[in-house]
Amino acid sequence: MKNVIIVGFMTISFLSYSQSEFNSKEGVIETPEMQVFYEGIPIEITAQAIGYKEVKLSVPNPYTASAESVGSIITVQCTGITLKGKEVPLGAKNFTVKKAPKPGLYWNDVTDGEVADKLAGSLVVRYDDNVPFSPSKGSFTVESYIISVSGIKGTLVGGGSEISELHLEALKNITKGSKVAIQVKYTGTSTGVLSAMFEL
Amino acid sequence: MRKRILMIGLLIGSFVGNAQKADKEATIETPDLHVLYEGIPIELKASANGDYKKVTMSVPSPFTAAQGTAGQTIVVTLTGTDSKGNAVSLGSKKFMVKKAPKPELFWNGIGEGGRAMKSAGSLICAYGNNVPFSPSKGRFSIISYSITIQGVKGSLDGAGSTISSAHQQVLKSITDAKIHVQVKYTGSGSGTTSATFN
Repeated sequence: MKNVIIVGFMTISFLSYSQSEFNSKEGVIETPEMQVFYEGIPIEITAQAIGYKEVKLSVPNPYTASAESVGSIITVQCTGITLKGKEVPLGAKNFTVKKAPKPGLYWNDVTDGEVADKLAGSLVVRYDDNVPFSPSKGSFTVESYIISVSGIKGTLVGGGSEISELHLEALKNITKGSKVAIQVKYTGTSTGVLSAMFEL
Repeated sequence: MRKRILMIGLLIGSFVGNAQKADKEATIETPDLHVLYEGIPIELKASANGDYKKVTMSVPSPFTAAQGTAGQTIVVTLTGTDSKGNAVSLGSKKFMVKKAPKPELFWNGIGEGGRAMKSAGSLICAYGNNVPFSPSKGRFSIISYSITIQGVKGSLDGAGSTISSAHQQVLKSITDAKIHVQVKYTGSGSGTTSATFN
């Protein structure tokens, strides 16, 4: 009887141990070249380690790389806090800081190379869905615009993100098929100039 | 008495065995960046703690998402082969496929907003260093160009990545005007991109 009990407990103990080993042996899949942060873009960081009361990171989460930090390497260190409150280093990962991607320019939601909608004058600078993070993380303001129309001397220059009524009137009188180039200065998540060409 | 001690000992052993071992290294990830791009080869690296003869992924590395798959989710699964040759599932990771970023246009190495160097007609589409992968992974060919000049009627339209000699002659005669160049490109991605030069 005693032997049966012993064998029973040994079996349970072995199975439990085997199960725990299986659970803790999860693999990791990484994309090393995508270990990047972007200036001005908050990037969420997660850290996981089994067997700790808490896992801490050496940088705030989400982490936003500051302007002018392009090219620098940010080392994110991870520390585990044991049940007894002891701190255990759990490794680190390096991230390269890059400049924020360039946004796209939209005139009434129409972008570069498309037929313009001359009825309204909304100029928007935003990210499309080809940035690696959520496009909504980029926020931009159009400071000024310069509009050139093929065949017309001079340019239409204005401030802000709305083409003025006067300039819209001028654009409405342009022959169909003409090309209109718009260059804007923008600020926000990043700053710069951006161009798009539309067909009227 | 001996029997009771033995049983308690085995119970403790069972409990200890059931508790998970503390990891020696944490997994640090940026879920925002779990993306793959159409036409861009992205290296994938797999690792696993444990006594495995081999660890294999369900997709090749580097992995290049096919054109037209933007919006899809690619699930990469990881399998380990233990010392007895058994396949052990080691989890998976999801990647969102996105369209390749739009390249930038350079005229004789000058980008958007720069002063045009009209002495040559080389047009290039390339990535700047603000893509999450190596910029050299983007390869583009220019199919055609369309140049408009402030105050000049019509446009200079041509094929390929070199502004024609006739168009270069026109451009050389222009002073103090904005020059807008729009190109159609293909390669790692396809579309149009524009730049304005002073």
